[in-house]
Formats: sequence, structure tokens, C-alpha cells
Amino acid sequence: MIDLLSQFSPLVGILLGWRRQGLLWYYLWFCFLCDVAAEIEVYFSLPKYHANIFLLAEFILIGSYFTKNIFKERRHQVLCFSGVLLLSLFFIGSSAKQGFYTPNYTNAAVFYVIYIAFCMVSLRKVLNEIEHIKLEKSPMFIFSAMFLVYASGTFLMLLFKLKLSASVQHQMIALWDVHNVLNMLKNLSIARAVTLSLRLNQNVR
Amino acid sequence: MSDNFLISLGVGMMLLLALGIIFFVILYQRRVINHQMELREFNRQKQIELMQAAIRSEEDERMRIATELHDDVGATLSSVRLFLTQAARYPNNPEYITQTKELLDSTIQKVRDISHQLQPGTLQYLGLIKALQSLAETINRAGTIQIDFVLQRKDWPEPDAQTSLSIYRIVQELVNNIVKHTNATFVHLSAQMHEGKHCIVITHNGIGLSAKEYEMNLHKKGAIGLKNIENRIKTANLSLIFPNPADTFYSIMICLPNLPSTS
Repeated sequence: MIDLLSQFSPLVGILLGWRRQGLLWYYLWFCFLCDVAAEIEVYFSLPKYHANIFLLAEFILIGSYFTKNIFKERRHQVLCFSGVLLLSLFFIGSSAKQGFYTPNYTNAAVFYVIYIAFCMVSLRKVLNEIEHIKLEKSPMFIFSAMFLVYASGTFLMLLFKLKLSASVQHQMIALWDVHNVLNMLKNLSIARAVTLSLRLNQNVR
Repeated sequence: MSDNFLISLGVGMMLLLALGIIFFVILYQRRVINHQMELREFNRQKQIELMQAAIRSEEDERMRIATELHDDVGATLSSVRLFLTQAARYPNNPEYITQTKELLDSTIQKVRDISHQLQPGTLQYLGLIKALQSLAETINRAGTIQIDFVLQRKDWPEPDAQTSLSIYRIVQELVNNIVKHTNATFVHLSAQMHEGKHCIVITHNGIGLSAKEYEMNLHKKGAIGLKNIENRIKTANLSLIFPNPADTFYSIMICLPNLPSTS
């Protein structure tokens, strides 16, 4: 049940953000399509083709979003995005080495450390700029806060994924349920952030 | 089994840490916003007080002029009317005409004084330095306190009309306060340089105010004169400096923003 809810949670944001199709909206689409692909792979007992593609694309999309919103100066944005691309290349290289259809969870854990760092910097920026009196009205705060929780929860799970897979089944399922709940909350927070951005844009016009 | 427990514990702790950070951000932001709002409210209150002081001062001045016109000029002109009526009844008696002439001369002088108080002609036509010299002479004539004015630099620049008027009124108000509240017997006015700025310095031998006491009195209820001084300082971009008292002398400096000196 939690699994299903987690898989369909991106649809909320996709429908709400239909009029304003930014990076986060494309990310939600991507999450949804990867979940569908995962179900197909399980149904037809295929290898996990989508895993590395998902991890890589998620990093590039989320990295781009944070780069665009944290750094205002062009050269800082270029520098940060170059770092994102470099890490992506490193990921591609290490995935190719172990076999591209084997999920590269250990290197993906590095991506989650970067996400945590991005979220902390973003929260600091929200604190410094104080654009919104009520933090719950700030799209950046909503997204960064929830993504921080999601990345913190997922980081250790990815790092020790192999150990978890080899362990007792019910414990792994319990932890995976935690991940699904976090994933659901993350997608719903993105939906909220997209709605708030839409409203802000309308007020500006 | 223990590995899984440790991983689960690690995940739990990471989540708690993340939630803790978010909670801290929310609390900190609320505190900053509350502080900013308090500051904004304080500044707004201060602005209102200054404006009210300016309005009250204007009303007090109008009341004073109205009273002087009514009690002094009005009463004298009534006496003139009375004397003229008598002069018409007794044309052979020149005494009434003489008295009338004296009363009219006194009235003309009174009207001139009131007009001068409203807008000193010396300031308008001869500049700030001459106006301050004239002020010192007027106060000396009244005999309540000994006051002198010294121009220490010949190349003293004349500020624009608005700034000159502000400085003149500030000096007037400060000298009035010195006479009323400090028990001073002597006041020395000078135009001099202080740390590269052109300043009017008021020195007296009474009980003076330090900068801290000035700030405290400024925020007291009433204190219209000080609030007016504050208004004028802000409007004309002047600065008020309270140097440390030397021996028994207290000083206050009214400094202009940096002006080019004319040689």
C-alpha cells in the first residue's frame, strides 16, 4: 500500500504544476516514469535498467535546481554546475566499471551527501534573505526542508544497501517502507513548492 | 542482526538531525522577524513623536505670537485709539499727540521684534555668521546672561539658506535651554574647525549635558525643544557632538557636513 502511494505521489505535483513546467515538474515526471519502469522490470523479471539512469538524472536535475536557486551570480552557477557534471561523469565511470545494469548505490550515497549540503546552504540562504515572513509560504524552504529529510533518511540506506539486501527480509522491508514514506513526503512537498511558485508568479503579474 | 540495528539507528538519527535543523531554522527565522518588527515599530513611534513635537512647537509659537500681538500690540493700539479720541476732543492740548506718537513708536518696535523672531532678517540678508553675532548682541542686551561670538576661521563657508536657518534655530534653542536650566552665567559661541568639519561650538560654565543624558532626555515625554533640535539635525544632515567637559566648561558642537572652504 505504502509502495503504491509512493509511486503515485508524483502525480499530485504533475497535475498541480501543469501550467508552470519548471525543473521540479520534470523531475516529478521522471520519478513517476522510473517507478513505472521499476514495476515493469519486476513484473517481467528484468534487470534493474532504470536504477542508475534514475540516480544520475535525479542528481543532474536536483543539482541544476539548487545551482540556479542558491547562486545568483552567473560564474558561481557555472562553477557549481561544472562540479555537478564532473561528479556525474565519475558516477558514469564507476557504474560502467561494475556493470551498468547493476545499481551503483554506494556512489549514489555520495550524491545524497551533496544533496544534504545543498539543502543546508539553501536553508541558510532562506534564513539570510527572509523573503517571506511565514516560512511555509517560501517554496525554497518547503522543498529544501523536505529534501533534507528525504536525503538524510536515504543516505545511510543507500550506503549499506548491499548489507541490507543480504539481511533479514522483514527488516529490509521496514526500512524500505520508511524510504517510501520519505519519498511520498518529498514528492508532496515538491507539489506544494510548485503551487506556491505559481501563486507568487501570479501575484507578481 | 546488530548491523541492521545500527543501520536503522543511523537512519533514525539522521532523520532526527534533519528535523532538528529544520526546527532550528523555523525558530531562528521567527525570532529575527519578531526583532525586525519590534525595531520597525520603535522607529515608527519615534518618527511619530518627532512629528508631534514639531507640530506642538509650531502651535506653541503661534500661541506665543498671538498672545504678544493681543496683549502687547493690541493693548497699545487700543491706548493709541483712546489718546487720539482725547486729542480730537481737546485739539489745543499737544500732550495727547505726543503720547500717541510714543505709543506708536513702541508698537512699531514691538512688531519689528516679533517679525525678527519669526524670520531674522540678518540671517536672510547677511548670512549665518552675522545672524549669530546679532543673536549674541540681542541676548547681551537683555542682560540675563553674558554671551559672545567669535569667528575663528576667516574662510568660514556660508551654508545654504535652509541649513543656515536650521543651525540658527538650533543655537537659539540650545542657548534658551542653557539660560533656563544650567545656571550658567557665561556662554561662548564660536565658528571653528573640528576634525576637518566646520562646527558652531557653544561653551558655557553651567551644568551641562553629556551625549548619554541628551539621548535619555530626548526620549522623555515632552522635551519638545530637544525633539525639534533632533528634527532639524536630521533634516539638514548635521551632527551634534558632546565633547568631554574641560574644567568647569561644557560644550556642544553643531557640525556641518563637509563643505568646501572658500578662501
